Amino acid sequence: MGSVKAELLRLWKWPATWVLIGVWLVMTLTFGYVFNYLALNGGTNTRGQSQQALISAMQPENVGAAVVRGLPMFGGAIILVLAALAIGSGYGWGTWKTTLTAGPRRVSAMAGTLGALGIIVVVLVALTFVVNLGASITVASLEGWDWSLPGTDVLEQLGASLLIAAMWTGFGVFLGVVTKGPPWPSGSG
Amino acid sequence: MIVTTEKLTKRYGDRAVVDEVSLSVRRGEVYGFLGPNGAGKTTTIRMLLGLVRPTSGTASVLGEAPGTPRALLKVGSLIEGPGLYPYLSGRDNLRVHAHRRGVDRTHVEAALEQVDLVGAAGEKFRRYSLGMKQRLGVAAALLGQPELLILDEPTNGLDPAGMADMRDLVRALAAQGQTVLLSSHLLGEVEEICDRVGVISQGKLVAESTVEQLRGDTVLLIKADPIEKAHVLIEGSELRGDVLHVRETDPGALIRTLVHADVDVQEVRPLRRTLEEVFFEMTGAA
Repeated sequence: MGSVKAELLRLWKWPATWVLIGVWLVMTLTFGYVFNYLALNGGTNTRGQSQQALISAMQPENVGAAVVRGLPMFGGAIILVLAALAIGSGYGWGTWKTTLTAGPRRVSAMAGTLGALGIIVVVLVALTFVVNLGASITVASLEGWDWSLPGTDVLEQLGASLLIAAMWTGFGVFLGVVTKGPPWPSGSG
Repeated sequence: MIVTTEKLTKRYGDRAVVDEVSLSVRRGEVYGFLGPNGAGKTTTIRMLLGLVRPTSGTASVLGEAPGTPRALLKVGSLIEGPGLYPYLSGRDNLRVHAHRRGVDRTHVEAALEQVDLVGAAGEKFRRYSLGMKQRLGVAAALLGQPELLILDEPTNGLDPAGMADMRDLVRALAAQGQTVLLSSHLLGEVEEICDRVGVISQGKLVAESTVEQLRGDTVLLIKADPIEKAHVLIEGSELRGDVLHVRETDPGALIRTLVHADVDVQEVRPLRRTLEEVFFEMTGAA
């Protein structure tokens, strides 16, 4: 538990964590709502979606699906970079050495990092949901649509989002450990 | 004994980086681990902390196998510079470390006080001077009041003032009864601080004793005229150029002998090998 607390404290106070989460939230808003909204209101609909599809994608009741849609690509890349940086930068700063001489076993130390990353990823998915919900309600209100809040199936969608995020986290951790540094995994992310 | 090693060896391929090193560190002493760069000091220390597996031989740290959580919780260490997070403040770095060691956060303030960094504890680690970084590294090592403090080249890269600060800090810790294993290639540092010394060269421990024993007996240097007459008068003296070297415990008696024999005594002073000379003899370094 001490390892999780230690890792959570240092990841929470790491500017890179919040920069990446911020970048992700801007991306999810841009691609999920701003572009669709512009397309719906006379802009170029480059993806050739029907008006009905655009409206459906931005409906508050479909926020869960919007969260899931973003994670396999852009969200995945952001999470991969975050996980790879969290692991890989420790080699450059020499903090792994400090960690491993502090007392915890290697497995516990790594479990601490994974646990803390897991909590950060839960926060990321939760923030994504809240921001998307806010954006969808704003669009629906501006457009005067009848809208309703997501049903209980959103829990299933958020669960799927977490699993996708966990997969990318694992991949990022793997790359961070294998390359023993942040540059290569960050570039691939 | 707090640390003992028995024929501790680490090989990389055919090359023995540490070769059958048997050393011992006693409770309450400052043990200087002395050797030129690349002699095997850091590898030995890494084995004592479980960061490197020995090829053969055994080691015991506070009665435990090296690198086990039980052993590591009783040891504080600073290896090859402090590995801390640059974006965190000094205090937050210690809080992170305290969580890892399972130590109450009240220890953080105590450790900051010990290394005189309370005033700068809120600043980011990356903004610290090298000396402050090293001191914060020592503070991290002190969390949890370890029985053994291992400092690997703690003055590396420091300016003279920083080195003096670090020496004072180690002296202060030693005065409190802290056992310290201090590795260094700086002879003056070891001579000033350490109770006992282990000298390692090319992976082998070539000597282990007190600094006094290492430096050996004091020799008297005598400059007199005529020097040949003085040489004849003083039994066991050694003529070296225009001076005599004498192993003599009573310089007064020696001077009286020369004066009574009408020898003009020009200079008498103790000549003692420095640790540097001893070190160069043992390691073959120049």
